[in-house]
Amino acid sequence: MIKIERENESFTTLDGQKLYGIQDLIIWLYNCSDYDFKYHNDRKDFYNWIYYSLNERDLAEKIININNKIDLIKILDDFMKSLEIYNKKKISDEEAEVEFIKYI
Amino acid sequence: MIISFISLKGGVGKTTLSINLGAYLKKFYNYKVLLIDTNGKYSQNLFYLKENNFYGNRLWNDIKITPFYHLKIIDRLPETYINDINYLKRVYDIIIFDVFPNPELIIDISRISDIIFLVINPDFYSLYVNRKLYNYLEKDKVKIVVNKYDKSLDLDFISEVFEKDVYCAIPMNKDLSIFQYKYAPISFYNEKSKALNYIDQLSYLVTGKRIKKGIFSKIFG
Repeated sequence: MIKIERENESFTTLDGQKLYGIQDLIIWLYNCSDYDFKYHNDRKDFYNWIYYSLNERDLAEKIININNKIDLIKILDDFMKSLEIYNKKKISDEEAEVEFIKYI
Repeated sequence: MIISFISLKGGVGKTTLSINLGAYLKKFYNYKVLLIDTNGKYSQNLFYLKENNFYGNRLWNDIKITPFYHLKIIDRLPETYINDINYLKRVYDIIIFDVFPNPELIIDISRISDIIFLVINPDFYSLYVNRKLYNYLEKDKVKIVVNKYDKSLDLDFISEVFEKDVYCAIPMNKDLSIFQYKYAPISFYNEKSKALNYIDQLSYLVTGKRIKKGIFSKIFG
């Protein structure tokens, strides 16, 4: 999962921010201080949250030995980019109308 | 860079243009684009999402990932919005606001924007309310976009009203009307659509380049 399913699974950072998913983590990493990063990284907080709360075990294993903020951002970013793949689906106008009704 | 699409009249095409510009910049220029849709639960962007849980009260919390752009749907600006925008600027190349027609919201967002697309339709009411709004905006940042243009009002007349040239006049176009039924912005299902010529013109202010050239430009360079 790229984000939590329950609000109480959010990650609270040292500077008081609440993170709800991997994209939140990426944005926080871009802005956090080196001290805050090191605090959480040394305690394996990122690993534990991604492994146990988000159930992204492969991703968690990739970051376990990372000690550099930029490298961590790159790994997480690449992971999120893989979700941006667009699968072009041909649908007829009739199918589109059926899909649309579901929204109403 | 922060771009906003504003109008005091609803239904002029702000969301259509903001969605398609965001997708265009991602598809053809590979920019990191964040679209902030302030239409809340009435957002057209909900068509592209598989889940509708929203967490957090900051602009940078729980951004949705779509293949076309990253997306944040809000129904009001949080008090922390200026700090949040600073957070986001470090991550995203382009932040596009699709602004609900609320005067306070428009003024707040226009103040932090680098480019303001003031979207109007060629009717007197749209012209009237947006001319009033224009008085409160930083005019250097504003670009007038006439959407659904059908020649019922002369562009010169519109330019006179605003004392500013119309930047782009977008005629009625089938793709701009029906793209929602394709469940993707136009750039992602029809790269040859004529509608993209106009989106390209909007993107020129961001990129400084034109990909889609008109026929005279193609012939004469």
